[in-house]
Amino acid sequence: MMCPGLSPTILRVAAAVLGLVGVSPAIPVLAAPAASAPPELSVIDPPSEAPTAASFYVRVQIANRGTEPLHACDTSEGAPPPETACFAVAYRRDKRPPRLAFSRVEVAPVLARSLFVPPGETMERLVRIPTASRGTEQSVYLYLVTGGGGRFEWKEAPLQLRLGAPPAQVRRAIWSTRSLLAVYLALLALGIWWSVRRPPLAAS
Amino acid sequence: MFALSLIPLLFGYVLATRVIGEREGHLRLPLSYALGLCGFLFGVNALLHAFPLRSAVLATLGLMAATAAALWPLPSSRAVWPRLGRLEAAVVITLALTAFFRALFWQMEYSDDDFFPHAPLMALYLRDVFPPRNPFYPDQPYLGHYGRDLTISALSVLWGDRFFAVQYVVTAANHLMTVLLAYFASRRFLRSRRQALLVVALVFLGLNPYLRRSLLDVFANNNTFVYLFLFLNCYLFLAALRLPRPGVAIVSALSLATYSIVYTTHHGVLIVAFPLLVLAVLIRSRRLRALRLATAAAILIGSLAISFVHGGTLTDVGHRYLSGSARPSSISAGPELVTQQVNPSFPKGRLGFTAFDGTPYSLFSIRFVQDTGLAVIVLPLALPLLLIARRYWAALLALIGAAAIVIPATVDFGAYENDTYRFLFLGGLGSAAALGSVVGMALDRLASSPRFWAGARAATAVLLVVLCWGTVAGTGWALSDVARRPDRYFLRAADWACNGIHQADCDPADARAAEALRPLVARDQRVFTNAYREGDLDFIGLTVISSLSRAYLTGLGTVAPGDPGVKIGDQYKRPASPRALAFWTTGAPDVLDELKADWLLVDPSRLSEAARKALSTNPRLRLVFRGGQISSGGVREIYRVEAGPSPGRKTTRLDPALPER
Repeated sequence: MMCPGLSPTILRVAAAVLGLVGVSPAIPVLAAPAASAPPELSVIDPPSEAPTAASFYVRVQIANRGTEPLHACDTSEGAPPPETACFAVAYRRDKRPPRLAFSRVEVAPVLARSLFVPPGETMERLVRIPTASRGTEQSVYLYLVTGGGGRFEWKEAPLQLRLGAPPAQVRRAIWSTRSLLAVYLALLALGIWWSVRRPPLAAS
Repeated sequence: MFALSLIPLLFGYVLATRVIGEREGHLRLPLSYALGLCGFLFGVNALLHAFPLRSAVLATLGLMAATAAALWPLPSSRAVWPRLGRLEAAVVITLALTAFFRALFWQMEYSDDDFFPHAPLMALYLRDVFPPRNPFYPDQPYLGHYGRDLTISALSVLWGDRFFAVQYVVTAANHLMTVLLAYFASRRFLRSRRQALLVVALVFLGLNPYLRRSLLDVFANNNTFVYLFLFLNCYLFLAALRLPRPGVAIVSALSLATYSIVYTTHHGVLIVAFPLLVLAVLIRSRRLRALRLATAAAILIGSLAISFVHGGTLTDVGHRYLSGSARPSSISAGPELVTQQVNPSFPKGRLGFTAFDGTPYSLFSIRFVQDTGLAVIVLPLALPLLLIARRYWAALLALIGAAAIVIPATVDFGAYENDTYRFLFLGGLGSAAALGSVVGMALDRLASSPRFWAGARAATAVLLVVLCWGTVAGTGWALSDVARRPDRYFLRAADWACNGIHQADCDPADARAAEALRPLVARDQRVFTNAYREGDLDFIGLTVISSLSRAYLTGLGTVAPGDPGVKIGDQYKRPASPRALAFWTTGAPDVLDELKADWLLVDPSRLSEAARKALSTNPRLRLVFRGGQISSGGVREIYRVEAGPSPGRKTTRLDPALPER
């Protein structure tokens, strides 16, 4: 659930309707109480189609409502829970992780840890997610994570994508790779056939 | 222009048949290829000190064609084609084809192992940057060997500057020719098919079952040039020693000198191993003693004399010691890893090595056998046996193996101490060749004895399965992956960049912007970018930008020299220096002058509001490119930094030549 009482599907429909009438449809994913002013993360215009064997982009908006610069969380293994406000974006393809931990998902490089979102500013970042090499549909579980006060809060934003044809460069890669593999196997077969058809040498 | 690529092959063929006098038809092909490539590199490297790359390439090809024409009338013996047995033909054909396609497919997936620095260096040669400088720290020279990168860049001049494509094909062809040269040279000098097959099988498949498998798997970076030229140098030196002739000696000296700019460590090993072989030959044979000694001395002295002037590590060492300074004046006190300057010391104070992760271990340890390969256990026994039996080809490889173990065990290589695995791989190679030859000699003897022959064959088969299984299985798995996931193997570098295996390291939008930047950038200009990712530990993204735009990058940081938190083997580069971070956060214009930036490649979504405003109002920044859309990775902008001091510029506090921490 991204917002209490609203399913992801309803939010996507609302986003699409807002898009049709020309309003930028930012879906509020985390609406935090104003007193603690934690960061606010939202997914904008989530895509519903993507090419096979390539990648697609999800727009994530990060709003720093606090008074301190907002950094990306330290998601490395063994890192202590964050005391100050931070954020992270992660995803897992095909199935939900068995538990919500950074070791069980792919963490998207949204913002270098040396950079930050200044207080009062909003930053929009693209998260690149690879797609499967086969199939017609793909599920992606996107996680918008906020940290602070010694804990992480995970919010799930599931995406269901229809997979279309691979992009031109991938089609070229598949064609050239299969052709070269066929040449290799043909030459190998020819070479071995030629070798074994030779008359045996006299024992040395 | 591409038809001119045949000139080095023709040149090599003329040398192989007219000067060296090689009669074996099978051996002429790899020998011609290796000699042509070596001669081409020697000529381009020599002329590049005075001319731009394109002129150096054309002049070299002209000289090679003229030399080939002048040597053509010399007498050449008719080629003989010794018959190949069934097993022999099948093994050699399978190994050679697999070497070619394994190397080609791997490069289509990864491009290169050390993508930095090789790809940017090749790109910068095409802008006539020579001698090389560090592509990420352009105020610093980049010392050490550079022959492979220069050869590929020079050849790509004939192929429309497509240096990635040339790299893929030349690397794969080198690997194939190494198999052929190693096999047919072994058969020629050892005079035994069994010995030759075992030498090649153990070197290519059974050399190192623990760490890096075997030579069949070692083709990334410089390696195909290293091992092709290693066998070439061994062949030439042994040919010159067996029957001393001035022509062969001259070719051997030039080839050995060229090797010094291809791979410093292995060149050093040959310089130690060759005199040891001469000593052994002189002890074992009284014939032509003085002539052999004079020929060997001329080759070694001549090659060293060239090596001290034509570029690379030995030239740098020569300059340093002749000028009496510990380091070139242009080098700041930054980490040695930025400049690749090696400061060895002898003796080390212990008899052992340093693993890649910085762990020291002894010469007499299990770790040593694991890192070098099981064959090293028999080296102390095999080497004297080979010398007694006058199997000089295998004895030379064994001596090379022994020298490659003793040198890193006793010499401290400072910041590069953990690179001693390069030596140990060569130590394992020499040991595997020695083992193969000794086992082959035993089989040759037992072949006439029906009582032991079946048992000997079975024991050899078991030995081969045990030693070669790792590489055979690994190669099979790698080729099956090609069939299963063809969408990850890209023949065109522009398609490969930031896709496939490196999808998480960078974004194709950055690669497209770098390509847009290429026609705009001039020689020695620097690009400053915020398109980097902290998780990209191999700097793939920044290397893609540098190599596709064919420009230096600026604004990267380094670890602090002597930082106790940094262990040997750790990455020394940092994607952004403090000054770079300050610029991307505030847009402070002074930083552009401090970093000597000529171009900005900007991902606007990564800018702070303040930096975005500063960029749009800076009168010295001219927006020359804006492209991309959200569905393909977002917008990228390219700015030209106009010359002239910015208003109110403050004095630079740091020496700009000093790599930033």
